[in-house]
Amino acid sequence: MSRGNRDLSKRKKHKSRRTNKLSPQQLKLQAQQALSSHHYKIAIQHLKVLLKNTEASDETLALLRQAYTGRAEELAEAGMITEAVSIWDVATQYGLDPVDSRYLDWIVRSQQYYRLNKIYQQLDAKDQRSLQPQLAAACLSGDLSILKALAEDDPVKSDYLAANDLLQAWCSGENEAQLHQQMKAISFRSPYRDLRQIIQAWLILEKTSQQAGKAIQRIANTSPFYPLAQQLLLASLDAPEFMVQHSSLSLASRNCALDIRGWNDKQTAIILKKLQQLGEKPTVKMLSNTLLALSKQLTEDKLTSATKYWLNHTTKKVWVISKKDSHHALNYNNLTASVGALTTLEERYYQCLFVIVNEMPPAYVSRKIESYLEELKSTANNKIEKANQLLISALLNRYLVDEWKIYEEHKLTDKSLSFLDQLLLDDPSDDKSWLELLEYQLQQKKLKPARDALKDALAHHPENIKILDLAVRIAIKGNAFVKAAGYAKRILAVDPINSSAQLHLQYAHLSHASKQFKQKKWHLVHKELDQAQQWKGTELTKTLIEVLQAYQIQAEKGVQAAASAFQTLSKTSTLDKVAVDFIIRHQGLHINHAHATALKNAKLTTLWNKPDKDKVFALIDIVQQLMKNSPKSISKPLDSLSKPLKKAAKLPFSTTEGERVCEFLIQVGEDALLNEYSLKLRQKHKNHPVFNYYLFVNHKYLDYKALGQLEEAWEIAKEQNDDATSSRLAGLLHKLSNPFASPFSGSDLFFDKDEDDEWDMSDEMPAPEEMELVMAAMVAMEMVGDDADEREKAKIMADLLPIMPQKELFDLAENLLGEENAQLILDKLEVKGLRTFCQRCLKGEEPEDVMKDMGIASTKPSFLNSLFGDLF
Amino acid sequence: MNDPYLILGLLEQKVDDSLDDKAVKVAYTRLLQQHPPDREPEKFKQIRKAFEQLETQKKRLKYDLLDMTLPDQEDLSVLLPATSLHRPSLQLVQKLLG
Repeated sequence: MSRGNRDLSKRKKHKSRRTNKLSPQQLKLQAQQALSSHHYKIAIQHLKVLLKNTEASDETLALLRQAYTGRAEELAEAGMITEAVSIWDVATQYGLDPVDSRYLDWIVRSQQYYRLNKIYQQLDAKDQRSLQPQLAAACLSGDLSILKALAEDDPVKSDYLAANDLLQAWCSGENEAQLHQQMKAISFRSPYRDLRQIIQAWLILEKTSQQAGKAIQRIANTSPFYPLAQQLLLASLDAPEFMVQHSSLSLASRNCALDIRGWNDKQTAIILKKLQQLGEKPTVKMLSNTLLALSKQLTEDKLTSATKYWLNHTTKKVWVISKKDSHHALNYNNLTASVGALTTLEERYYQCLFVIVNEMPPAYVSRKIESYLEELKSTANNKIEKANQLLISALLNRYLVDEWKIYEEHKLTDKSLSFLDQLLLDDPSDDKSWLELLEYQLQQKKLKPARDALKDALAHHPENIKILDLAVRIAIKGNAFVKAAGYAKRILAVDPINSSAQLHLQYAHLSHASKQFKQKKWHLVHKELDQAQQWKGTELTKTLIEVLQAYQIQAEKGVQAAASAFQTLSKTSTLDKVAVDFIIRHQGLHINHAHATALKNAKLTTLWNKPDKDKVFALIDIVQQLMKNSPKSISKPLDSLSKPLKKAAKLPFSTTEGERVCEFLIQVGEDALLNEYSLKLRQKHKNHPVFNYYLFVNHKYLDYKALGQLEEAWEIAKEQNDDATSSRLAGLLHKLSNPFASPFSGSDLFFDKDEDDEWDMSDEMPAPEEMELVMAAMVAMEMVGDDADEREKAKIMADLLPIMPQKELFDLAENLLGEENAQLILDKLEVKGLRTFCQRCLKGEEPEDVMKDMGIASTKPSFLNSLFGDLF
Repeated sequence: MNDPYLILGLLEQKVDDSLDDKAVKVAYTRLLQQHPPDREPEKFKQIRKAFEQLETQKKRLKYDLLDMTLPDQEDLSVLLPATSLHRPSLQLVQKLLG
């Protein structure tokens, strides 16, 4: 005996001697204590000694059964199933149930079918039935020794062949009809019924997962078929739910479930683990890391083409966004190492996205997008690619139009217009962009380009009502009334009840009538007015027609003949008297016909003798209505009312009313009246700075006193938290105090002749083109932050330098070492030399040293240089 | 789920380059039948938004080019191979029953 074994034997003997010395009460007490603290082995020892020394009592036997059960379960839990079965076997002599489900389960799990069969033979019919599913499952698992011991009529034996055939048919992929046929051989009382239920559920699962889940749930978790049912239940879950359940399974069950789903691979486990780590709301950094890790770990054959595409697509997207964060997790090298090298096209595309995501100035974004589109154009090979290239170009040009509009206070400018033109060349089907262009051209009175654009727009959208509506307005604006009527008729062909088109038609006929009136072609005037009357119009157009008809009578038949016509229309029109008065003035002046007599005939001459607020607002209403629909100038008829309107400035207007009048006067360009009204209103409403704005809004320049007043008003508006006024005043102040914005820059009108006050901002302010680069550099600097290291800054500059055009490079070189020297580099080494010079400076070399290499002396730095100096 | 291709179940077609306006409409109609707006208003909103993003080739290009919405965890779960149920092998079933 070895030394170790001798020690163990000694310890056992010593322990046994110690136990034997204990009294029965002490043994019982200690056994109970051991049981309560789950020390079943010690409890069994004490209780067995107790049984040996005393008579067996029910209490002692119950305690012993409890100890054995606990010990067997303890062993089973530790995976020692055979030992658990042996313990239970021993304990049956103390009264433990030989057909306990736990015991039977362990027997099955340890594949001791001979034992199961032995037990089965000893049971009565009722107990046998409860054990039959266990035996049935054991038989199907391949242990046929059980069958030999069973009677021929035993259902486990008699149904075995049918059940086994069914199982094999199912596993080999037999079709639904065949399986249903085979299932009929297994009755609902058969011990194989759970198998039948599972296969039935599977067939449902192949069609819809929800119903299958319910069918599988009918199988009790005590059934020996339950492990198989559980796998099917897992297979029916959605991927995210499956991932949650999956983590709680044993390794064997997990592999089985993955196999059924077709995911049986170690890599799947990696994906599951990674995705679970993400949580519900992953950050950009977490996403970046996860995607990178996944893209490195997944081999191509395990990924469907869709997931591969998506992984690439998303990884790059995350990369672009994460670059915005200075502590981004991904970098270019990592990305290309994981998802493959980027093509030039991809590289340029992600550069575009990068500048967009980082909200760089539009000039910078434009260059990147143009460079991408250039590459896209050269790589488009087939028809589909070319069509897509045009669409992409249109989309990106649309983006640029919108960006430039934001940058330039929501207005279309030459820059944004060039992108809009390009967008319409690429995608003429974009009706909204056509409308935007035509609306702009109409507003800017650029009628020739508007007509050209209209031709193209209508070629692609011949029935677009909005474009046709604009066509009418453009034609009327250009006095092309026949064309306008033609467009309006096209609208009515598409939409016969379009009231706007009917109105347009009326105005077109009215305008044409006025034109004929001037040429005294009375029959044509008559004809046009008749045609105008055919369309459903408004009370305004009705009065306009009547006024023109009355003027025609006056011209043809004399003043007396027209008197009643003017009188009637003045009486019958539902419009305000002020409106009728204005229409008579307006039409009369437009057709070069004296309106004084007409007004006299209409008995309106005294109307403006006593101006009041109602008359002023009635006038505003009618003028605005006429301006909206008719291209005719309203300045002449308004001038004819200048005296009473000037008088009306003294009326007690409230601030809101005053603002409305001032806005109107700005709209109609009546500067003298605006000055009159705003002066009076400013005196009356001293605490309302907005009237200072109206007072100076049309001024081209201001003296110091006026500028002081404007500044004071701005301060008051800020104090009053009147954001709208304060912003308007600030804009006005900026405009009036900026010498570059005025044609009088540097003149005596601006500045006193005191030499100290004279300054030339053009020395300090960068040129607009340079400004874009300055902005780009500033944004770039802001992105990296103050704490960023020099390498980060150098990276950004390295990105800026390659796109710098010659002029900027020259300016930079010039600012570093003088114009002559910059010119020398350019002459000697061209743009490449300039770029190299700047890049060497970026790498930390002194400009003088670099220049020395080239044999040129240095000069003083400038604004741009000082800014880039920070980056260097 | 954020990705409209995933929401409408069109990723495979997108990759195959076989996606057209009709396929998007078919997928949208099918999903509407599965998730009626009156019963599942939230799901409907999600489906509708995805449809509006992918309705035409131009819109699809716009999404591909300029949309910067990040994927969420549900989107990522698509990395798992598509579920196509396999009948287990006899050996596997015997192991489970044994």
